Amino acid sequence: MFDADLAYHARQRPRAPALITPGRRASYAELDAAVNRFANGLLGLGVTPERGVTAVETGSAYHRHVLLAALARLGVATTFPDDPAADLRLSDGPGEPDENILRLTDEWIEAVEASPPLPPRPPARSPEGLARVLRSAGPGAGMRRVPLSWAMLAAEGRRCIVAYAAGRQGTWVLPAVAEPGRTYLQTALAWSLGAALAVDFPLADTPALLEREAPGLLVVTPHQLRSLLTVLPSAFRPIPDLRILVTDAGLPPAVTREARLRLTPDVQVIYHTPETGLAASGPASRLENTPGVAGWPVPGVEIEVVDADGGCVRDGVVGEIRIRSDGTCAGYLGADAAPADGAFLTGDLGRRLSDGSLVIAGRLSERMTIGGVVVMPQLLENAALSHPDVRDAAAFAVPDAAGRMECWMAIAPAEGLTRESLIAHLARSPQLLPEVRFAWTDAVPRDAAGRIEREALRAQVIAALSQPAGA
Amino acid sequence: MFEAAVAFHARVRPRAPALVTPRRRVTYAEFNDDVNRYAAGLLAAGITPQRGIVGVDATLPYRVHVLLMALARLGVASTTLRDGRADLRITDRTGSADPTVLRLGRDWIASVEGAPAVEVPSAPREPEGLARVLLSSGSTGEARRVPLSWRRMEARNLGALAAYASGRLGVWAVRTGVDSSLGYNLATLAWSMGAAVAADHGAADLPVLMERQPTGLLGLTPLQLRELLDNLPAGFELKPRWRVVVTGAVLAPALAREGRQRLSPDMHVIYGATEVAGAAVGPAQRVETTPGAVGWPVPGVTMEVVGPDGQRLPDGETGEIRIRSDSVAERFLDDPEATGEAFRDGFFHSGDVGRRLPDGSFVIEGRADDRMNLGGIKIMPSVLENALIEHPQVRDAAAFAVPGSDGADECWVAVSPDGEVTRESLLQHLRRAGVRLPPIHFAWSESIPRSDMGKIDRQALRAQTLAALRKSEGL
Repeated sequence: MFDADLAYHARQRPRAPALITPGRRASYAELDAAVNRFANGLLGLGVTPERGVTAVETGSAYHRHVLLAALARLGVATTFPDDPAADLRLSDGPGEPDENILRLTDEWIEAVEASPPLPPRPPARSPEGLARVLRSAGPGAGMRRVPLSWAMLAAEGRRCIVAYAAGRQGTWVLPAVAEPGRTYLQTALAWSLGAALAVDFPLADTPALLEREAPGLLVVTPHQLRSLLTVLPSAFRPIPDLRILVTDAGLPPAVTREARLRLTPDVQVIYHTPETGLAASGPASRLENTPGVAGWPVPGVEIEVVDADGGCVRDGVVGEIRIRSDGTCAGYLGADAAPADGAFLTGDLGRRLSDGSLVIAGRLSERMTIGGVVVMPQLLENAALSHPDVRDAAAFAVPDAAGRMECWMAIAPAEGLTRESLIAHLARSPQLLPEVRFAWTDAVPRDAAGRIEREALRAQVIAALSQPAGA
Repeated sequence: MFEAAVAFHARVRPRAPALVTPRRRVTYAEFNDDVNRYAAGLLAAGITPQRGIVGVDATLPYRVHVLLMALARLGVASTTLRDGRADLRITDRTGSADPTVLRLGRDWIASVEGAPAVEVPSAPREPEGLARVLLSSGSTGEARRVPLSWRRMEARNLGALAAYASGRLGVWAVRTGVDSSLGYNLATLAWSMGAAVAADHGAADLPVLMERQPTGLLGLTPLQLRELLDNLPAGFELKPRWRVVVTGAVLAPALAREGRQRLSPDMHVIYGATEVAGAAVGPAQRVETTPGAVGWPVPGVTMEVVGPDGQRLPDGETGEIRIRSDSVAERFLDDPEATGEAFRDGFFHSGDVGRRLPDGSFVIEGRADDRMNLGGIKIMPSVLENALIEHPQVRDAAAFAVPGSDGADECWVAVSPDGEVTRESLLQHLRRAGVRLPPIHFAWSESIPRSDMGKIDRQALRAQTLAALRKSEGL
């Protein structure tokens, strides 16, 4: 359990950095003492495992992380911040008291921080007990809650160690909050291994942070990596001891190449779902020849590509990705639909290469059929994003007046982008692309995890089309 | 777990080194290919888990490691070379035919190594099934066989990872060899994590390895540390990016200081036993102020100090150390009597004597059977030894009890002097140790007899002293 590992590192390496936020910096000894103080403080407020699943919603990243570790030390299960089904919420914001919301006032925090750091009594904790609830977009519509036990949390840590985390005892930089679930897993693992965690720094401050702190791991979404490259000072010297972990194989090849040249040659991609944990990983350099390649199944994980009937397809044929592992959750919280017999149908499309590696094509639900031809939006987006004057791009399908699907692209242009140069650029793509209609926009809408909100784009275009011309 | 990780690393980082010997450097891709080739060859030769516990003996250290991994991939339990009770032994040495020995002839090896490398999938196995047999050091007599399941092997890997190995990749060199508890644990952990294993590096090869590789992990006994320091070439610079872990015996304060000053400041002591793997870890500099300090229990390990009736003792009091964790073996193989003695009440009883400090760390004072009872004064030899070793003219020292003419134990100290030293100056030094001193006989010796692990062989010292006493009586 990572809270015990944290206490161990506090003794062995008390002065090693553990938590770095824009406002505060804590060594392992300081963090461990703070975790003890807040655990005692929470106990004083009656927070015990019996109170149920607890969400932490504090403005301060420092306090959010200390509280999450304090809850773990008390054996209390936690969940993501906006989980509507959380039993209890800890908040430092103003508002009315409520039996399901504990408001942590400044006075309370001050008193806790001045209290003696005595370790609380260790809770009776079963490895099978609930540790964390992860958010899943789910294979269908709507949000789902994925339960993770202490044993599964540890098992996920083991998979990550083998795949990318071994030997990384420097600073783990997680810019902003990418994906709350993944952030929690990375936090637990960093503290298990004795690494420093740097969180909540704006992307613009990340280059200076990387230059200042001991190199470790930078965890980013493809979109964040692209944005980071735009704010990277031209004099930034690459840091070969840094490893970049990209949490999605949909990393445009051009971004990969630039990141490997300007940040570090050690860029790795992972493929994961909340329901199964880490499933595959590999070097990002392969993306330059094979877009979407996510690497090989990590030990203990079996990945199959299946057709609509659930039968395995041949290598090279695109189908839906099915994952089997001992890390696959047995079912969602508060839902009847459960992944059957230890296998999870991801809703992702992909294919297996003959060397056993996996190529991710995109979400099954995002597949477009344009004029009878099946196209994945990522194909168009990667082609557009390789244009130097395209800041961001999103492809989606919208029915025309006659009900036929048309392919649209929302383009966030840099200064100087012309329609003609973009069309010429897309025409040079090695793949055959469908005819595209363009919509220029200031910014492509994305969720907190950096995923494109295609439904919103579709609605905007439909609304714009339905307005009478000239109105 | 670990052998599946080798296949993963062979794909993700094929050119990273997996095994380094003084003569050879093998990448993960090459190593995995050879593991597959040998696994297929062994399978064709009828080696399956049904053959029982298999010992491996090969002329080349590289082949030993490949064979061990090939057996793991087939789900076959392996044992150490010294285990005389293995069900089957695999060797590339020539010899007479024997149904319990599988001899790998030159032709067989040539055909296996020349075959195409076809992936041999990991054999399915029960986590509780037997993975590995280790031999306990036998400091209390005959070596015992310690069985470990796949699950316990994984727990040992994770314990080492959390305790001292997490920040290190590079090259891992374990001087005690892959047959030792530490060696097998760290080799399998290195391959889980994608680090390289350095095999067969002697005291003269290690300085070169450390100069060539920017980072790494070095595991050795105090005796091997002494040997390495004696072999450090002139001009060898401190290697702060190498972590050194010292295990197997108590690290003397002067040796800890010298090691930190000449080899690497990043030096840790591991307290453990073959039966439990590493149980406590601490920075070596604490040994300099508190002799015998071994640091804090590894996460997941419960360590307690108990009195003769098994009751837990308060902090500061000396008693026997007992240990519980997921890494602890459950029993000895085919030895119910010893099993019942050492494994009871859910704990492994280490036979080591020590105490817990108020900060939660532990101090080891020695073996329970070494404790001397000298006419009512009970004293651990290490108390006298640690004090004497600080004397500038003492190279090594060992305390032990020998029955006197009246049958009562008397305290003897063998001293290996470094230049001129008088009995008086030694006694003066001992008085500073702050303990009640028994009457002491001194014996001068060229060197103190020690085991491979660096443990003092008190039985030999006792026998030598008794023989000398009888001889002088006879005169």
